[in-house]
Amino acid sequence: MPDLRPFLVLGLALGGVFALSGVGLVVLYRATGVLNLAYGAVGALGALIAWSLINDLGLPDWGAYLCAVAFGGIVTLVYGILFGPPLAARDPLIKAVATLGFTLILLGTMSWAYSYQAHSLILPTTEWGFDLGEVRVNGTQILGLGLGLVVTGAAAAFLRYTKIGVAMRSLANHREITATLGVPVRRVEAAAWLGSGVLSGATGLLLSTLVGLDIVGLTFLVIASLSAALIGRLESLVATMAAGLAIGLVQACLTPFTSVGPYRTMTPFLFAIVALLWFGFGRGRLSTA
Amino acid sequence: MSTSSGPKRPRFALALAVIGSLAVLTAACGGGSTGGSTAGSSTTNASKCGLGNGQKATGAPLTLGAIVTKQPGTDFTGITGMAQAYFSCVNDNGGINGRPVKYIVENEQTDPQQVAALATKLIDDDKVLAIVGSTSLIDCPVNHTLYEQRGFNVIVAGVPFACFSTPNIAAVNMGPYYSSEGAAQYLVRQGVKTMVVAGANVPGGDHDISGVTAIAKANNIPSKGAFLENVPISDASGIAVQLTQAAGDGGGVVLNFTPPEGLKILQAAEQQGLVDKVKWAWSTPGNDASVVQALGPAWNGKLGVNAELNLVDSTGPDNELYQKITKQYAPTIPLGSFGQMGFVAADIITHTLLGLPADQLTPQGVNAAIRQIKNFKTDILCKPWYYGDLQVHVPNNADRTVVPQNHVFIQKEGCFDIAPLPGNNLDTIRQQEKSQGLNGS
Repeated sequence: MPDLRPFLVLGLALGGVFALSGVGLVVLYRATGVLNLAYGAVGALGALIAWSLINDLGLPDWGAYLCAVAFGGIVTLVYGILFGPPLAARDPLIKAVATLGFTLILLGTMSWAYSYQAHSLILPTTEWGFDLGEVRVNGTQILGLGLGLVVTGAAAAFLRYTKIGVAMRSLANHREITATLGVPVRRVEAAAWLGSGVLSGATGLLLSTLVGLDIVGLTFLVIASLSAALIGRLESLVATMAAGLAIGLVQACLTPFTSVGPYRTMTPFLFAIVALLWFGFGRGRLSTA
Repeated sequence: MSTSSGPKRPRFALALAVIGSLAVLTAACGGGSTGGSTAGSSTTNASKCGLGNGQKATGAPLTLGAIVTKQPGTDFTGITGMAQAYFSCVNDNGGINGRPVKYIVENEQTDPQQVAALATKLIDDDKVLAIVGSTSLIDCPVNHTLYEQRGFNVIVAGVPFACFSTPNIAAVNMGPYYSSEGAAQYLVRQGVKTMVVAGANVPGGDHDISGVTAIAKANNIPSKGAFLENVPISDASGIAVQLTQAAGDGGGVVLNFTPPEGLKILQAAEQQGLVDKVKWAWSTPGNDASVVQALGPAWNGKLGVNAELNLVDSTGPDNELYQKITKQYAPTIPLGSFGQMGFVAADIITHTLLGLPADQLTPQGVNAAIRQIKNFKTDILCKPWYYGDLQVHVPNNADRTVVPQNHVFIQKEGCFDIAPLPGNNLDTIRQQEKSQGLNGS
């Protein structure tokens, strides 16, 4: 039996970031009905821009990190302002496909600007850490897990207790009725786009350290977050967080098992498939009853 | 904390654009081998692009072609990009006796039908004189029969073993199989107790790393695993832990990945405090400026990279020309072994074309001349390069080991022969080198 302790630490850290991304996706979906497939690409481009600001322009690290987060918020907000209203009445699938187009644009931009060379962005929190037995736990891993938990709690409280949060929830239920009640729909949606974008920027920075600053890898890591969000039925923040952590843990802990380890990257898909089957089975039982 | 090198222009423009847009929001964001030279000084021994006369070539173009893999996790376009840069320099310096080189590069995504179609297109539609600088995961196994049938003697930067085991393909590099073997030989000399290898899960990836296990066995070192990882890697930390656990204390780990993927594992190992748990080695792709810039001081002297080509900052005339061409014609391609491969391939064909009379500048004439190449000297390779009338070609079969030291690579071991093993053809090849006088051995 391999020593799983290091993989538990790695899995929790990665799962925390999956949870963080999943929460960002769910908050946006609940307010706008948009499943933002560009979430990972925005984070990746933000991290690469931070890399450029540090290395090409000599900006202080923390300034560059703030810019990456701000970039995530702004570019997502701009997309939401430009394309949110025209697509508001369309099917959720069409809205999601539109973000896929946005993903491809961002992917092309990154490929053009950053070519194939190796990039590296290591957050300073990584230098701090402690040994847990033979396992090294660093600050970025703790930050990944902690931020995932904190953001989940904060987002849940925000949606439940703040005026704008309640407005977001009611928007999710019925956009037009909410508008007739005097809720400033576009402003509320813009807040959701901005918040989700800020989370994507932060996620990109964390993942660039935990996974590597890689254009394609970061762009498509959104799949794991999507699986977590699907398990949370694009509604429950707590379920999304738990699913994100579970995906990270299972994927990491499969690594040392030679028989199944090579297939561990399928973990998010398996989780999503099982969840969808389970939900479908549950709905079938209800309709039968 | 971050590190950098390589291309500046597009990133710089992008960074400026972002700075501009963010400035309103946050104050924090205010923030071969003849004489001459392309630019700058030249010495009597300096290499030059083609004729080196500073005159633009204006005649009818001579068309060359290449096929290169570009897909997520595997991008070899730095090699063909550098070859293109070399030809641009040649075209600015008199071309091939006044005729410019037109270089057609076809990208592929490891689809055999696509790759077969591209080779046919290059030969039949584009009517290329030769295929030079191709770097593909599947071109050699898919198209070597076509090349044999059509009489094309192809010069590649080889990846799969078919690039080193078929009669009409010769590589300027030694490829991942032999390079991984060289990395394993380095670890043997370092006295490792066990051996582990990891490579990319791509077509032929299992064969590429099989030489490591064979080297371990030949030296009575227990092999503790050969791992194929999906690329792009999404859990580098897990892989780093897995590899060091498998090797155990005092063991050795050989990596065979492209620069971005291998770097992820090394940085994860550093974050997990695993640098000193084992001894690390990497095949040739690790010999890359962007990699060594990104590696922290924790790696000083602790990563042996098998360098099929000379140090990227070596001062031989050919390597200096390579650096100049990169700076002038390909600033977005980082200095590294990939770029050097493209340079050497382009250098070889340029000198071959320059040596041919005008009436021999046909596919038949050029490919016959390629097969006659021998003793092509360049300071970028350990031994002179040759093509030769052989059934298998591994002209580059000796290399070096370099280690990082404060963000540059320094030479740890000088040129050494890759060990002959059952099935790797090196015994036979070295006998033929001697008997045919191919490289002065």
